[in-house]
Amino acid sequence: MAAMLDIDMSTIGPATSTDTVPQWDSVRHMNLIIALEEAFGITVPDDEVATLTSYPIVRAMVEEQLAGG
Amino acid sequence: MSDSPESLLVELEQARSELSEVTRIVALLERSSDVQPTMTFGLSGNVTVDLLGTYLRKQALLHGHCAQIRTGDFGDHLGNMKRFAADGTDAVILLNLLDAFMPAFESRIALLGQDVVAAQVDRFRSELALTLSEAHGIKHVFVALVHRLSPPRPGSVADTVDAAVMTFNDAIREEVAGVDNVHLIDAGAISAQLGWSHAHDWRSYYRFRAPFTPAFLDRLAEQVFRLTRGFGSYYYKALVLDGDNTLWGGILGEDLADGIKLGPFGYPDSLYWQVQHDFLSLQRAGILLCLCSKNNSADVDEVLATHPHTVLRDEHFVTKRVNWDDKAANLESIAKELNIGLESIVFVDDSPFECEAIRSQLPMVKTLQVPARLSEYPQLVRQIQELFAVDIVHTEGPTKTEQYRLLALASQERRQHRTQDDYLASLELEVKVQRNDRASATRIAELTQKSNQFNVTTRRYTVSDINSLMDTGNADVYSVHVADKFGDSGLTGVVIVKYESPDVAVVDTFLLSCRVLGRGVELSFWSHVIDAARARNCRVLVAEYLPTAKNGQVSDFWDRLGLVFMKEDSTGRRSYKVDLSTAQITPRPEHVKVVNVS
Repeated sequence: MAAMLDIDMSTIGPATSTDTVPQWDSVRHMNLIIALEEAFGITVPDDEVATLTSYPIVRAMVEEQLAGG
Repeated sequence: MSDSPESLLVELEQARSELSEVTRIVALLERSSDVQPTMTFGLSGNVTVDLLGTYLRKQALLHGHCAQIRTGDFGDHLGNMKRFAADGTDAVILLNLLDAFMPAFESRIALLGQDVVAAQVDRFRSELALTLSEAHGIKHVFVALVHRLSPPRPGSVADTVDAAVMTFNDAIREEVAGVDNVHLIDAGAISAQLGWSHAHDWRSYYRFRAPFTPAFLDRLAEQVFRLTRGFGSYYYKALVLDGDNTLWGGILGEDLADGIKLGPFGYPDSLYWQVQHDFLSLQRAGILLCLCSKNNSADVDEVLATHPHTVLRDEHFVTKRVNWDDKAANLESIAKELNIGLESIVFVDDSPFECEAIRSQLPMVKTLQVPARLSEYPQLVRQIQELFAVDIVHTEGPTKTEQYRLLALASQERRQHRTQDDYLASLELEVKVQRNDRASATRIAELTQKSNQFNVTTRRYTVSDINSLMDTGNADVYSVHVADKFGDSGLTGVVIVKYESPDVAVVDTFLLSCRVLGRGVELSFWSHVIDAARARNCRVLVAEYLPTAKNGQVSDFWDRLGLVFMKEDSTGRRSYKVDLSTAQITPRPEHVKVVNVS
């Protein structure tokens, strides 16, 4: 996630969101989704793509998908 | 895992197209202190192609370069090319998706009818010709052929989409013919290699207009480097071939000339016969063929002279080393005789022992081993063809190259009679300006939330913010609709003007969606804004530019519009004004028709 958003790994936390990361734009967002799917072997549901706007939400989605896998 | 550049490069190669790994390793390598950018790519597409930049940067690093990427405005090839040329960009990639020429184009092709498709081809052709005419200073321009996004259907042989693909690609071939800095890339072939569903990401296309998968873009970037021989990082000139089990099956010294496997029929005879033809084609294309074989030289001479099925004969080899000496010494002597560097040599041998010996003693030679599974040999041959980056053309009859040269003459003629003004006029651009249209508040708010690049102040508003601005009486919210003869782009621009003191109008917001950029739209409607301010007895119009990470392209917008620069503070914030009673702004471009519906 840090690589895709071009930020330092150590700064990722509950506050990491589209509001606090200026470079988190639509292009990086799609790349992030693709990278998450590759890395975790999951498929992000279509209607959740637009809602993944912060680290806690992304994390919850990944955990849910892995559990439901 | 060590983070030395060498081990990172190995990791990068092994990561293939995996996006997070490639992104991470590329960033690490580019940040290492001794790496300086050596080249710049400009990307221009009628779909979002930003991700291609990551894979070009990957390929650059693998070839000893370091690339910077400039992403052009969506769909504005001509404007992008002008900017790229002005910036000294080294290489430009033009990528068009058939389906994106008009909304849902592939689904509508049959419904639209041939005239509309022909008009679209014509528009595209003019745009491409003008774009290429701006590309003189650019070393390499890559033009991707269009291909279909929907998978081909085996049962549908007279498909209208395929017909349109062919028409567009004929237009591309004709326009690029004779332009010597242009390389064509067959994007459809990449899709076919990967398989349609592995090449395209429909979700990302519908949501973000980004139709290509990382795997597709990785291959595309690879092609860009192949076609330019790694942007000068290598240039193979000679192909040195072993004899036994490389040019024929069997061991000549044991099986004798009439016992070796070589001929049009049977296995493995036909396989060696086939690859000999491929090597002959390389020789015809100007590659220096050499033979390096551990045999008695008289035996090999006999095969080349008298074997009934040998394709390669003595005259095809520029030099031969048939002896019992060490192959490394032979390669060195070939390089010396031909006066080429060892790094210009590709060496092919079936023996793992010989290959390993050359790899360790002469690592600069590109050493390739004939696959143990012989049926994979033709794949290796294709890899060799790509290394030499030559087009294999047939030599009899009028060649494709010749046909394209003739077409090029016609095309150059057309180009001379076409100017950018004619082209722009033919688009029939119409800009519609509406003031305080409450029905559009939702779309206006959405644009203020989403637009990043062409946005001079990047102020974000909610729907209720927009509604109250429209209600106050102290502000005007303009919505800008753009249409051309091919269709309506809808509400794609917003201007918000606030009247803060009785005689000062302040431009609070100005943004345009990327898909209507270029073509002069952004300069076209300001007289309406100024007339409205004058009607309220404003004497001065004030505007500013607030820099962000993404809106660099509008840093000089107010200068272009003809406003007077006032000051710039330490954060890069720039202020402008214009005296409404006297001063003039840049006039509306003539090819844009502006309609005021407020």
